[in-house]
Amino acid sequence: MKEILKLTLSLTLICAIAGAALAFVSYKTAEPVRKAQEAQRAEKMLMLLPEGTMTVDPAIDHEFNDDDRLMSVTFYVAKNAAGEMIAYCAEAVDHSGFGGDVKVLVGLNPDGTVRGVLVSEHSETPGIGSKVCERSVAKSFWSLFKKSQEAALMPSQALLPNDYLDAFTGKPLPEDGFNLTKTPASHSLRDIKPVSGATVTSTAVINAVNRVCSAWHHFTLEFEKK
Amino acid sequence: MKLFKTLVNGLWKENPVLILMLGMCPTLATSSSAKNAIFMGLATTCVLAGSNFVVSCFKSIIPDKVRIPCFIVIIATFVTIVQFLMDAYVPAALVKALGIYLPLITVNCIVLGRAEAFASKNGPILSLMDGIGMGMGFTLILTILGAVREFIASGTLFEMTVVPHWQGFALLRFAPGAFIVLGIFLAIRNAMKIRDAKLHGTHFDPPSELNCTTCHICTLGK
Repeated sequence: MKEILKLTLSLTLICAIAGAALAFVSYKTAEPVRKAQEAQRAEKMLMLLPEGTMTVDPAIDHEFNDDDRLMSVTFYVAKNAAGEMIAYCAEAVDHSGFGGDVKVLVGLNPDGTVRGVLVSEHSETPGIGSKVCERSVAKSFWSLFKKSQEAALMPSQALLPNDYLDAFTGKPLPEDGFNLTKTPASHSLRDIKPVSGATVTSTAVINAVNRVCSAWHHFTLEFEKK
Repeated sequence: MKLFKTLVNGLWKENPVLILMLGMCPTLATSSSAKNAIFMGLATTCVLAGSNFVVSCFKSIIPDKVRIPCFIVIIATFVTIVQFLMDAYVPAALVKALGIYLPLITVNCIVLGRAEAFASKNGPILSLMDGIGMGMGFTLILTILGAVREFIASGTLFEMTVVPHWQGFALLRFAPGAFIVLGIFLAIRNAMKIRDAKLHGTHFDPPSELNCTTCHICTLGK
């Protein structure tokens, strides 16, 4: 009995010291970690924005709150060297992903057409939901022996392909949002085909994009009034 | 003198990768480029030095029966600290490239092996030196391995082009290439040992530390 007590106490002591040390380091690195994440987000945004973008600032006046869930969409304004507004970027979150939150970045032209969609944060199942979220180059066995095209080693600024996310590119943001359907009408600008087997993740991404849609129309209305 | 000897011990004589054959999993997985390899090696060195030092300091209060959980808690703490620091100060692409192998340093055989075989029997300063030496030995071999693989796979070193218009041999960037290059390294090491032994007129035997009858880590040889 005495021995068990001794073993438990020494283990508890070591765990307590370890916990205290971790809490201290976590507290000390919280600020740099936040900065690093912000820089990472800015880098991702630049992929969606046109060349010549000099500054990306949050459009503070236009934070939009979704009525039913109070989820905000944040707009960022991209300006070129001359200070002219050349594009927008919007960030939205949806909580209904298979692994929790799915955070989406949408690059927008000033007229409201989509420049590109990027999932910036997700924890979907690797190999299933991640097919919806991650842009990557398909690798085949033979690519091992060929001169590889992939830029696995170098961080590239170019957007890698993803069939689902690329379906949004070039389409105007519809007022009622995009429509997820297995049988898209051939010329429809609203219909998006989900990735089979990953319907939940596809829905989460489209929900987030649709939040941007409704926010955008709200936003432009306000903009016209001014 | 003994401190220095312990320090350089890990670099060659008891190199964790080439001689002790520990930590093969991260060696094979993260040596795809010289930059990945050097950061993985440095992260492991930090954990190894820290955990060796702390284990050695606490060795008198850690009861023998729960020593493995205690070692793991200490090692895991250092790994988490290194992870916090890397998240904060190292480019995200690099952290992503190291991926799961960074948290897995916790169960890296080198770290636990040194805590068990060295730090729990020696003083703090000596253990710190052993940790740094072993870590540097690991980093050294990992970086050379990464440099060779990166060079042959894409003609670059530390992401700088060395040979322009290199045709590239992507096989070496993936796991099979890691096995091939590591195998060649081990062959070179054995050849050097055999040549050394011949010059001294003796016969080459594996170091006695690895011999089951003299090692005290497990009880297999008894």
